[in-house]
Amino acid sequence: MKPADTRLCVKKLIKAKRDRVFAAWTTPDLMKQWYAPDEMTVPTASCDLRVGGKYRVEMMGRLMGEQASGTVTGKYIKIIPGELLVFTWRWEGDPSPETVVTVELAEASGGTEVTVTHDRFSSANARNKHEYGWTGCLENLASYWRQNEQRQ
Amino acid sequence: MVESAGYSLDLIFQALSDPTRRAILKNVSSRERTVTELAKPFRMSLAAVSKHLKILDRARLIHRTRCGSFYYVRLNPEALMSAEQWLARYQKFWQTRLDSLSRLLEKEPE
Repeated sequence: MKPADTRLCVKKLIKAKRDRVFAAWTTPDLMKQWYAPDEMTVPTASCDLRVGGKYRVEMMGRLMGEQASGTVTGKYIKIIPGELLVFTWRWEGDPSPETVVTVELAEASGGTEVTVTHDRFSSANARNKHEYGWTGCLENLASYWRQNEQRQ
Repeated sequence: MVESAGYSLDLIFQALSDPTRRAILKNVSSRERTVTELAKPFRMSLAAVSKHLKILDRARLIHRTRCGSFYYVRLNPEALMSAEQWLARYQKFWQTRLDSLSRLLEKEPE
């Protein structure tokens, strides 16, 4: 992880064809089976798969031993079936601006490499502006502080 | 999953989005500085620096204290930590989600 970034990136090789992976991201019945973390389940999921269309995933159950619930919702920004899915991400009831999730699927030996990028900045403008010069800053400051803490 | 320990991550990330403000933060991370000291490397008016400091202050990334007619500025590292936590939390979220996605797809027949 690069704490310096406002975006994070997670990759995984999944032993399945790209179309099946894409379907798992965009079919409510399949989304229900993997979207919720920990001991949570997804009672309802919906997905209007077109640019500007909305998705909504409700999550309920236990998170780290405690009762929890939350609904994530957003709109599709870019869709290339089997390849790319870009959507906004916001928790219902949370006043914070939405963030953006990008899911890339690439053919790899033995399956599909899935890359998920979650970005703090939602507008393309803001993203471009912040693209450069980020890495290192926050990380340096944080590690500087940690060293200082340890010294004290 | 968005707010952390009373810090507004949106204000923090907004404040950090500007190169001048990041440079200011770097300067105050090693030790406390006066506003005049901070203005020097940027060839910027005190008023312009003050504007940046206000934004950093609003995000609680810095502490400002007054001593006589001098303002001292220092880093509030806790705010940076909360920005890191956001990333760490979602990192874990997506890692575990992809694990469960792969379990789902790998157990099903093609």
